[in-house]
Amino acid sequence: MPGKKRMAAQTVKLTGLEDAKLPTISKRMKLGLSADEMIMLKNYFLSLGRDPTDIEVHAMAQAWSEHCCYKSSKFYLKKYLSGLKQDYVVLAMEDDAGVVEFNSEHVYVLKMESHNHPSAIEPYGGAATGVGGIIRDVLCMGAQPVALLDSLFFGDLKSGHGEGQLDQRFVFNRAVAGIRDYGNRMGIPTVAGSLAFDRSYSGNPLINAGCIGIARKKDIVRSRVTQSGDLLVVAGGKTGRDGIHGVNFASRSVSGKREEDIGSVQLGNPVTEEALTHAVLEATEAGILDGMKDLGGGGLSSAVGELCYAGGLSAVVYLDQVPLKEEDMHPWEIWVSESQERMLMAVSDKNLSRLDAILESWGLDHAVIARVKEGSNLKIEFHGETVLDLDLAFMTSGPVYCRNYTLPEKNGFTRIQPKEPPDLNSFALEMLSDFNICSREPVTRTYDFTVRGSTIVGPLTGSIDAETHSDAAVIKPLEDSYMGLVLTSDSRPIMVAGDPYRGTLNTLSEAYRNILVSGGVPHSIVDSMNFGNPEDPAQLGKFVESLRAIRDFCQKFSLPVVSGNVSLYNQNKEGNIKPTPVIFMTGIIDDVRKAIPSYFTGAGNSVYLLGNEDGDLSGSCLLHHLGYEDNSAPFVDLDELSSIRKSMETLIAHDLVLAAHDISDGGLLNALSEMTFGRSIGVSVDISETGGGRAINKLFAEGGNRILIEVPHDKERIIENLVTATIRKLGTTGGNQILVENMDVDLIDIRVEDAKKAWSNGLSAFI
Amino acid sequence: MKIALRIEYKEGVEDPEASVVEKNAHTLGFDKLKSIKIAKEYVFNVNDKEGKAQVEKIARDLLVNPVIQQFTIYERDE
Repeated sequence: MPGKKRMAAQTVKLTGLEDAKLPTISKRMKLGLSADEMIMLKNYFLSLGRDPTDIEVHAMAQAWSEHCCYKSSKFYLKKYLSGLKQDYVVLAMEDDAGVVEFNSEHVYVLKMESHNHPSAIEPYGGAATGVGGIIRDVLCMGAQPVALLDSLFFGDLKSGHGEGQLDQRFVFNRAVAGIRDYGNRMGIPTVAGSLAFDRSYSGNPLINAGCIGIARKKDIVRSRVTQSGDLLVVAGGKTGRDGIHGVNFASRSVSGKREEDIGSVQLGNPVTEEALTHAVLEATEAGILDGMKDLGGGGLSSAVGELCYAGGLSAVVYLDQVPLKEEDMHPWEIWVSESQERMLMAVSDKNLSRLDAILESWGLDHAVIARVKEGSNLKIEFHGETVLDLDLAFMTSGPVYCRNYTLPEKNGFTRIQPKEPPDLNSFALEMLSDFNICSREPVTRTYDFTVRGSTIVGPLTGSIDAETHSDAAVIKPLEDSYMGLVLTSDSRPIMVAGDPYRGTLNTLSEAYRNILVSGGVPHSIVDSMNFGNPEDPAQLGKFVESLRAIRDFCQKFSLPVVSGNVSLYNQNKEGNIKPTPVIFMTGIIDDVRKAIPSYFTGAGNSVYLLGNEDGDLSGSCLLHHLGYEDNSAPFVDLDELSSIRKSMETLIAHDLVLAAHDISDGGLLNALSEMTFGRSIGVSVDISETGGGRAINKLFAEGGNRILIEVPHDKERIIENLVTATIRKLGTTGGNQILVENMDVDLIDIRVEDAKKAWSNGLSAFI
Repeated sequence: MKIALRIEYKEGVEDPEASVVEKNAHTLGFDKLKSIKIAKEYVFNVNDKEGKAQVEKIARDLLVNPVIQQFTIYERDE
């Protein structure tokens, strides 16, 4: 470019510096590296006998960020979650997303990731690009994305905003809008998820987006390149200055000064990603891709490095070939930019023209940016000058920390016994409209959950105008098969905060039961772990306890953990967030026409309770609603859950279950109420025989592995004989009231209509 | 007097609308076009200098997202 100033790499004088001065460099260049890591870097370049260039330093900082190399969590993830593989898993924790066998010809591909820190700064763009990123993770395995899930966590909507923080209602509304716009414009249904509110998420909302796709086994493309001599093509969006230092930023806590964090903000462009999806699937079908990786956190630096390193190769990158949004970008900016909607593909010389033609036909920017070669060093050339020459193993491995942690104190059960409210009927309505219990319709209705025409059960289910929450979404991914995927994404942060081990087991039990009550068989797990500062031993202890629970649960039920995500340093000025492991569980249903509804289907049927209860209020929405903080969570009996699964399977096999719903947030009363909403059919139950002590404990305790089922009245004897788990008849469906009796006292007597109104309007004033 | 408030994306922020216009203009053969930027202009009819100050406050408190947008305010011909 004549007359134009060409950007060049600068040398960073590192090797001659005293160790004490190194942190200043890290701060000035926004590297996010600790003093010790800067010393490691300096020593490496001392051994090479030269100073690094700026692009080399930035590349190392990206590769060594918490986000890219999991330095604080890797050791524990390996300790607890490796070795949980099952025969039907094709790829677990190896590539960009998990791959699991669906039927003899097809696999499903799934992943969940957090986009917490970007969403704290710019909720709309952050949440939208979170969705875009997770779609690419599934797409880059060669799979057609078929459904999206989101687990969202926000601060208290009534609290407004603290100093230097965004208003919580603004964050909530904009994040939901971002998810809506990206998913709807891509034409992928958002079918399930969860939503929770707690003040610990003020200033640090959690946005966890999950995606599942379907592919033919033979079409799976690996996140590695094994053909030396292949070309690397970057396709999709152009590279700009947006999202520079995103991962360094995600690896520390959110700064109060929003405007200065501009470099970390990306706005998505779903229209480009839509075209990219078609192009990628066409290229996959043509069988011309030797490897593929999406560009997310860490940009080209992370994608090129990992794609080559995983295949035991390296590459020469021609950085000046990358299509740019702005002309005057520094080489390091191009290398670490996290601009959205980009994909990196490995292709042979022979197939390049076919790939070019496909990308061209979809109007996508694309360029060959590197050639794969044998050897250990990655080289980058920029206008003929070598600006980076680093050992890939050193660059991608990163440090591993095995920090000290402290285990939380264990308290067994809660000793908090709140006063019984004088008027239980009005208190029941108040609880139904609590943010953590009430209808999610104002959110889920904005998502297109039926696009693609494969959604059998969406987030809302029931008769028109009388809908209720479903337990899990059911998707029919293939045109010529009735086999379906059952999807749920759950979290119980209040319980996990009380006791990380038990709380995580409760989360898993809920997800497991959500699949069972929908008629599915639990099949695989993706975990998305959102925790506080790992340098605080108490926070790290919670993370470790939570992982231990996942391992114990998965071993007990022979479930594989196929992919996952860890987000640390989630904190605001008041402290760390509530530890929040999100469990995305997938089940298989042989025939989607047999999916079981979550609402009462007719009058005069019997209502049974499966499973024991102990009335432990710890970790309940009731205590949270009344403002108690507690350090305990209900005990989970995994043997009982196993027998409940067997009982459910037997009942379903005999076509005896008309409807089923698990008991979780809000306890028995909320579960019963939700079941009445789907067709406006009332219920009358007597809870004298159930365990749990006081009425308030019986109504609102959330522990155990309980499931409510609706069965035909004339099949009671058969059912009681078939079931091996504890089973108790509670009452009968019918009428238009929710009636609960305890020890000859009428506890609750409310009209379904009134309960529905309270439940439906909980959030409507805030969105 | 008339006060105009012009809001545009900051440098480097993705603007899908602008890229679509740019791409289509190129398709139609407008080869001298290098790039395009889209901005939105509000025109406020205000009484005096104080009104102008209020426009700036409205911009900051209501209309501009400082993370991704920048703005300019100027007097416009009647």
